[in-house]
Amino acid sequence: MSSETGDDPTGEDAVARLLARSTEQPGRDAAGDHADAAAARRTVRTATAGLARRGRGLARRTTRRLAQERLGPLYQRAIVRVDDRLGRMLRDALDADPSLAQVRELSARGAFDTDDPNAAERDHAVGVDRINLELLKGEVRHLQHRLEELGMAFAPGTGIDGAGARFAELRETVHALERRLRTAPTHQPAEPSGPTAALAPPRPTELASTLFDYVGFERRFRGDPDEVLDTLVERYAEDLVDHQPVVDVGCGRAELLSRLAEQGARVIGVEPDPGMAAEARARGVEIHQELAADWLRTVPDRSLGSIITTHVLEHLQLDDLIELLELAAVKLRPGGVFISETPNPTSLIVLGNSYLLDPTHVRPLHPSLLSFLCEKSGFRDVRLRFFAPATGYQVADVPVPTEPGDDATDLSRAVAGEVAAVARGVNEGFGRLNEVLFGPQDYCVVARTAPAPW
Amino acid sequence: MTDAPLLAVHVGWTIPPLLSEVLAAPRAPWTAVAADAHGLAGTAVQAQLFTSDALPRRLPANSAVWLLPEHIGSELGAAAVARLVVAPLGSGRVDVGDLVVQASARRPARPVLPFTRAQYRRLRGLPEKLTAVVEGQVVRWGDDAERAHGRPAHTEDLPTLFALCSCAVVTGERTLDALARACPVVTDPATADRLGLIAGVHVDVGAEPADRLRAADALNHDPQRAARLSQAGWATLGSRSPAAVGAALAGRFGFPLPAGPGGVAALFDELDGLGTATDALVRRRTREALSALPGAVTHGWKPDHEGVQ
Repeated sequence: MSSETGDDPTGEDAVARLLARSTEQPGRDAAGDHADAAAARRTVRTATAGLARRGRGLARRTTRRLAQERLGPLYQRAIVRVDDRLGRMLRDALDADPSLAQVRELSARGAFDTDDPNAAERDHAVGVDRINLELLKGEVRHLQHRLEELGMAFAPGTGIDGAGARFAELRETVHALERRLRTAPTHQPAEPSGPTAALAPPRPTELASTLFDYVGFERRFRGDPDEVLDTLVERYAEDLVDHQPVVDVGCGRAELLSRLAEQGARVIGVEPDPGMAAEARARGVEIHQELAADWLRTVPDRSLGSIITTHVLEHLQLDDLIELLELAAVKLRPGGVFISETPNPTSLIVLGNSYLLDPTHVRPLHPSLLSFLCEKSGFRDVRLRFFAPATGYQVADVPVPTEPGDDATDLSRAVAGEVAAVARGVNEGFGRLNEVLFGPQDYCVVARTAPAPW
Repeated sequence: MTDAPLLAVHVGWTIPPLLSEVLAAPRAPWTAVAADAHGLAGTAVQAQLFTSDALPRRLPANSAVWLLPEHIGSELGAAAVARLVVAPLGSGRVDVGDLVVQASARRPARPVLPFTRAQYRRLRGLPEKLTAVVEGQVVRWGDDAERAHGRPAHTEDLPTLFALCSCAVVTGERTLDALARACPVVTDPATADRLGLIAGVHVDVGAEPADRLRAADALNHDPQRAARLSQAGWATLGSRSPAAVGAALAGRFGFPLPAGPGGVAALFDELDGLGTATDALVRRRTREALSALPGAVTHGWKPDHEGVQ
């Protein structure tokens, strides 16, 4: 409730300043002749009033001086006596009034004391900081709430924690839809007739050739069945047993499944070939004699633990392959594993020998292609593993001469160094050649579905 | 602060400019705690304060909404004031514009009441109907409105003019300075609208300078109305300070206000508490200090009622 400037705006000094400024700058611009006349009248009136004031002041001063000179001593004596008398009366009155003690008590309590201004300012600053902190907390909570809403919009089951994974799934879904959109026919195909219908490749409902003795072919060329089985068990059994039920697509005689069943795993085989399916059933394994895609469509989503295919995918047309991968990604549980072993076409000995040897192979599958297809089909974690380099075909390194002894001549040292350098270069070339020509004969892709969000 | 009632404050994307000042008012009786849309689980809050740009159809009991400027629109001027809508305990009734917080805070000065003003003008040799006219940086004053543009003054003299004049014609932000000095004010409609002042209640308005001068003349010749205007304007300004709004909000919520320095009038409470005799000298002295000046014409504005209404 104090003045803004700190001094009293109604005080004599403030009004004197106001009056002084008003006389310094007469307002000619705003007033006309009428204002000039008024100003003149005011000046005369002010001067007259000033003279009158000065006259009254002079009279007062003269009277005061005369009174002091004549009446001063008498006044001083009287005032001392009156002062003493008044003092005694006042003390008596106050001492007689009990409220004085109460006022003193109030004063002692601090009721009349003004608070320490610094302490009050400090308290207020602390209060303001606390309020600001609370408001910021409220703002942060609001942001958290909005983030949670956003997370729930993405991942209704888990909220913001699972939003990242859900977003990745959505992205994968969009990729899949885009792919299907690109491959979808632009118009409904007419009923096939004429030569076009004859040329159109029929969609196979079972393996392309039923005349080819694939069982005999495998027995002759694929190697010792027991040795092959041991290798498969060694490579994949642990991972498969951890993810049950295990489905072997193209299980053949179900040797691998039998071995897994012996370890207590629940196994399912899918094999379209009637002879092999019969042999597999004889082993006591659950077998579905149909194409893998047809069977997978009948399986509930997220119901399988793992799916393995060994040397099957290279027998499929591209669309069938993609369909199988997409079905596998859908039918596997969260965190399920899809394993597919196939010949490694980046090793030319495989491409030129074992791959071409099998007439039912449709196309070689480059590791990068298979990895890409798995990723686009919806698998989250896709990794490649390479096995069995064709060491029997690999060109051996040439021996690199050792350093000559101390007694060797400079010439022989120089020749030996040159020969060693040439040998190292040749070996480096041999290494690259072995890698390209006689590299790993098989590889597998291990693709996992997205883990459970909880 | 631990025993203070809890006021849950819901803030959104932005914190309104004056909110923290109101919540941190010196005598605020609450403990403000931040709350989100789910409230405060397990915490017993006695009142809630929401910030929103939309007014709900029905408010929860004992809650208030701090309307964000977007909602106010051009009605009061977004930058000048903020409005609080309060639903008192159990009512749920929504009444727009219950409380108004002034952005350009002016601390109301101790008012020089009309009688004292007139005596000061006589004592200092100033015109009886001293009228100040402020247009931007140009300040003039005179002995009535028609001749108000005769004498120039500096803006530094405005506190003196506002404290002593019988009427001020002023537009813009300086209107608040005049109101803070309990000066009867004539302003333009735009200023009144922007500052949330009601024409005829807090200020008189005139669209043109000539209209304003005529209104000032009328005020000079109706001192009773001038006193009512100045009292209403001064009290409104005080009631819009963050501290006053905080106290008013606490009152609406039913929170007990802590005892503070209550001015001279609080002496009676202290004396009663001490059991002071009714005829005690100290009571007599207190009554004399609080009584109006003998013969003072204050038009109902008593010196002991100078607190913010």
